[in-house]
Amino acid sequence: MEAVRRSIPSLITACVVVALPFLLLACGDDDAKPTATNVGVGSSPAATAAAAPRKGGTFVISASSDPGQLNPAITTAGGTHFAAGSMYNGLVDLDKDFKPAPDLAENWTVSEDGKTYTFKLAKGVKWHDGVPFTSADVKFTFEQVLLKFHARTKAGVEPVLAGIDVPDDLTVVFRFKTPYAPLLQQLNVIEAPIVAKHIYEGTDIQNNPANLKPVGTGPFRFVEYKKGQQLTLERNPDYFKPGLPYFDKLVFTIIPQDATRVLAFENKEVDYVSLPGADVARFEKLDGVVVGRSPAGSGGSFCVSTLIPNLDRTPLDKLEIRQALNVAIDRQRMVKQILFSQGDAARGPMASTLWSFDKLLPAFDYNTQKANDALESAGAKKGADGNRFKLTAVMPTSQAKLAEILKENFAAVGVALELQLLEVNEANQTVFVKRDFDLGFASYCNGPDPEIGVRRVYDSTNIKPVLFSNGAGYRNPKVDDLFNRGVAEVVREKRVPIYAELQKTLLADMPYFWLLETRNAYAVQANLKDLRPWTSSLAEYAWLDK
Amino acid sequence: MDGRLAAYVVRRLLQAVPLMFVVLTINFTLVHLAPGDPITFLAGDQGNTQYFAEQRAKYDLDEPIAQQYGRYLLNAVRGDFGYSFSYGQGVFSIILERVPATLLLMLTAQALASVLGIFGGVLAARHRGGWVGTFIRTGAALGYALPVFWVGQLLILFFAFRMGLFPTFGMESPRSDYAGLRRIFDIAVHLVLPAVALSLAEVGLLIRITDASLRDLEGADFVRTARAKGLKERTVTYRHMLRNALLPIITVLGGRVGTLLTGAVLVEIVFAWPGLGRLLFQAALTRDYPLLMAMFIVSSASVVIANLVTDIAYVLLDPRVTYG
Amino acid sequence: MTRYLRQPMAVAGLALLLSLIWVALFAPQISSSPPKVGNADPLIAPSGAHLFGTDDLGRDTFSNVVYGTRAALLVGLVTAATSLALGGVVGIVAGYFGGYVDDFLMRVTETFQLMPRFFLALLMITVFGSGLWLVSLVLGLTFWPGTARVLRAQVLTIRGRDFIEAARAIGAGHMRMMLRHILPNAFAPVVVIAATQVGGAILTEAGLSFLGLGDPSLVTWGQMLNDSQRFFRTAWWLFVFPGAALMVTVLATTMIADGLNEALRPGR
Repeated sequence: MEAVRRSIPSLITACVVVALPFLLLACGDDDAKPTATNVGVGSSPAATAAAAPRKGGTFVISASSDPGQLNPAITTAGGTHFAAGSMYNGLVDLDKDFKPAPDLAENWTVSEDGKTYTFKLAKGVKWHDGVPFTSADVKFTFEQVLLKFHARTKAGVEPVLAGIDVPDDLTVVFRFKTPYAPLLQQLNVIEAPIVAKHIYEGTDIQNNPANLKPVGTGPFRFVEYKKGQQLTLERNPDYFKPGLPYFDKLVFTIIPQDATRVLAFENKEVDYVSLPGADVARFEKLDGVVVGRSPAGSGGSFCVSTLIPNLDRTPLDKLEIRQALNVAIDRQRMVKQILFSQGDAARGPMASTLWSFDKLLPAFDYNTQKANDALESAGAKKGADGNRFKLTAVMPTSQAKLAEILKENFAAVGVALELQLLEVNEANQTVFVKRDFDLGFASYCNGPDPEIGVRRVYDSTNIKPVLFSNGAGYRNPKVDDLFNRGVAEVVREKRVPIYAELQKTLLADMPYFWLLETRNAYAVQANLKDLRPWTSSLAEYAWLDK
Repeated sequence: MDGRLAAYVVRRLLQAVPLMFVVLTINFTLVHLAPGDPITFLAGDQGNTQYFAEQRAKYDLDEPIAQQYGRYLLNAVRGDFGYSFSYGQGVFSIILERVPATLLLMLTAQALASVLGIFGGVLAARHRGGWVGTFIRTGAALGYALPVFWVGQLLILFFAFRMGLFPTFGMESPRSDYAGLRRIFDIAVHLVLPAVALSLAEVGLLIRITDASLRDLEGADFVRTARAKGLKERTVTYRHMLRNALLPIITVLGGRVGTLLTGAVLVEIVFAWPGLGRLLFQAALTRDYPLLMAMFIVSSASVVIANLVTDIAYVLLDPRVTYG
Repeated sequence: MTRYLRQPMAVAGLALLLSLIWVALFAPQISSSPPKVGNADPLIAPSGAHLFGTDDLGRDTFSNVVYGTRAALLVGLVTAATSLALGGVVGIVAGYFGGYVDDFLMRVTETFQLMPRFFLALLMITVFGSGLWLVSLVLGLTFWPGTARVLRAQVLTIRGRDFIEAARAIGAGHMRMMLRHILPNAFAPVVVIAATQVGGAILTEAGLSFLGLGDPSLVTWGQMLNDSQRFFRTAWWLFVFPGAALMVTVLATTMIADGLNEALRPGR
């Protein structure tokens, strides 16, 4: 989403799952690697020939923001994960469909009751400093680092975790208090990167010098970090996955301005760029460039731009009014003019790319006449000034364009929208903490599981002065119950109908206005193969074709 | 003589104390009047109350205001301006890392501007009334009026992208590990466009000042004497007039450091030049208050120092000035 | 006055500024649509219907540039006025009374003159949010020392003149002396510096807006330039016209200041 990309704070804070707009799914050319399959959008069919990966070369990636520090286990900040992911591994990788695949764990078993997960670790894995990797590292990472500092993993795993056992050097057992379905989605390098016990034990973890000079297990190892300028990594010759990686060097170079970044890519000074929506069509016609689009960002951040009505205030506490306003919103115009068609109109509380999304849901209507009639019959008559009522919309400045369109849309049905465009932090404070708003805004990002990111928006126990919580103040015991049933069911097929009913209930209650599903677009030079932009270890399998 | 100069320098430095005090007080007041809560940046999107409290304590946000203020001033005197929220590191060391790149850019631009500006000013003065003079003066007014970020992007578009003469961004090529001379050359190539962009306004200003100072000297006795001696016009201009015109020029240059720094901030962002400007931008976006405040302090201090250097240069160049 | 009008550049500058003021005043009549209203297709190249093309929301760029004149002139004028009010008082008082008053006020002036205005403005905006008035006031607070110094110098040269002595002899009070006798005679150089400050303030505000720190409720050229970043290679008109408008406006103030300066030169 364009507007989000330009604002770093909104990028960091607005998404529950790292909403890295520059990490995108679907490289779109080569299917040679089993774990690196691609969603073929904008692909060049000629490139699909199964050429053998070639070793060597430097991969230059442009990023819009500075990572700041390089320990991905203590933060959910997108910039850090994008840059540092290549130096680390998770226990379980996620493929492009977000199916679990081996990483540091070779294989695993889940007990019948869904309460115990046993992981067998890969043999011969070494940290970049030569120390062997063992199950103690995993236990330490979870207990001392992730569950303390990684906001999402802490929120997701900590309340239900009973304990972690390490019966031997290569076995890790997670025990849960109740059946816990989403764990395998929460163990990749973004949600749970494993850090070294011998580096961090007994230190001030957030200020450990290794955060700027990381020691990981990943395919690339640290060379140099010049803050705000560039991060240089080199091939890890002792990587535990034989033959990988292919590139000699990985360089992340930081270019804050969209215009400069695009020119640098076109000048072939960088090999990877996140694309402003307006440039996508033009890039698709360029020779030697492959444009990829992603239904998800790194770790599966399916973000839904959402307008938050304050259900504690009139007139938005009335269902009829909300339903009428929902029909007054021109989502197609937003898709065209804000997303440049790099996204879709939202169809409900879950992103349509999430497995639990109910595919039968229709698109929302846009019908000014219908909205006018509905408002009329709901008793909101026009006043002398031609307005039925006035609403104050508190939105971050990065959403200025969306706000402008909403204002035009609502004016057409006699609802005066007074825009309060604030800096993103202030806007979020005003909406979630001070609760002084009629309409607020958040880009709620869903993780690869509805437990990660969806639940917090609707669960009545999550109405609290915390950013990106249940901002509307929505309460429905039935919804709470459906979420509880969904998480306790281990078999995915059995979870689907539960979530379908949940979506039906939410659509009937219309506690939020779901506006847009944001997508991202990126471009790479055409000779770059097997990029994995949906994870933060994006170059693990990548190589350069002649 | 030297002792008196030293005493002068010390006195001028003492005059900077009130400024630094005002700057520090503004900083402190602003943060505590701020409507948003900076703590949310530390705690991320799902921080719980306990985590917020820990972070508040870490950044001293729970102490009484007066105590915080006292501590703030004391720390500032010790050179400790606090911890950067987003970098998790002392702000002073972060800023120091960036100074060389910005200094390189500013000094290059200033040198470029001095040469072009003074030369252009002399040309304009010598061709007053002619079309050359008018042309240069119009160019100078234009250069002064150009928004530096706008012109920077036009330069990238034409000279880096269309003509391929220069790289589009950065200070060094990301693909190569140059060392020694080749590295210096690499940096020089990257430096050209940003330095030109930054210098344009200064060139415009210097042309105007040089031109004006030379004109003010037209009627001076020593100029008439020199002409009467039958010296060539060129000699009169460069040898006699320019030397005298340098003083007001230097004064103006010294007063421009703040503006130049502002220009550098914008140019650095456009060209992805890894200096202070980029840091400032990042800090503004992430509301990294300690970093923003420290940048304000450092920029104030650098303006003070630049003025001091200017004054000293002035004193050394002009024997008539006493250490007043 | 005639000396000012004898310079073609100065006259052109004045004409430019007057037309900009005219544009700002009659923006609703001149523009084809209200600011920030998208009623055309997005990203149309310049044509008869849309002289400067349209932006990504189908908003007429010409209309936005026209309305941007308002913000630019507002920043320039408010800044110059603030600077004039503050600097005027300090300058006159310092020059008129001299002695310790002068010493003290000049120390204060020097202190504020050294304050880096862009950094201060940026800090203020990040703390209080970006309002055009806030920015103008902050800029005014950093521009006033220039005005004060010019005015003081001017007052010092006037103070000893005959007509001042005469006024004092007939018992005019301090207030009256400063306002009726000194100020009118010291005004011309102050106008020069005010004109320069208008240009400087406009450029500074544009720089802040370009960084995305502009007033979101208004159309400003700096913001338009910031928005145009994403269309740098696809819609040149979004980039060229606001930048040109900015340049022309600052150029006008520079030309006026130059012309005034020239007209005020002693001798010739």
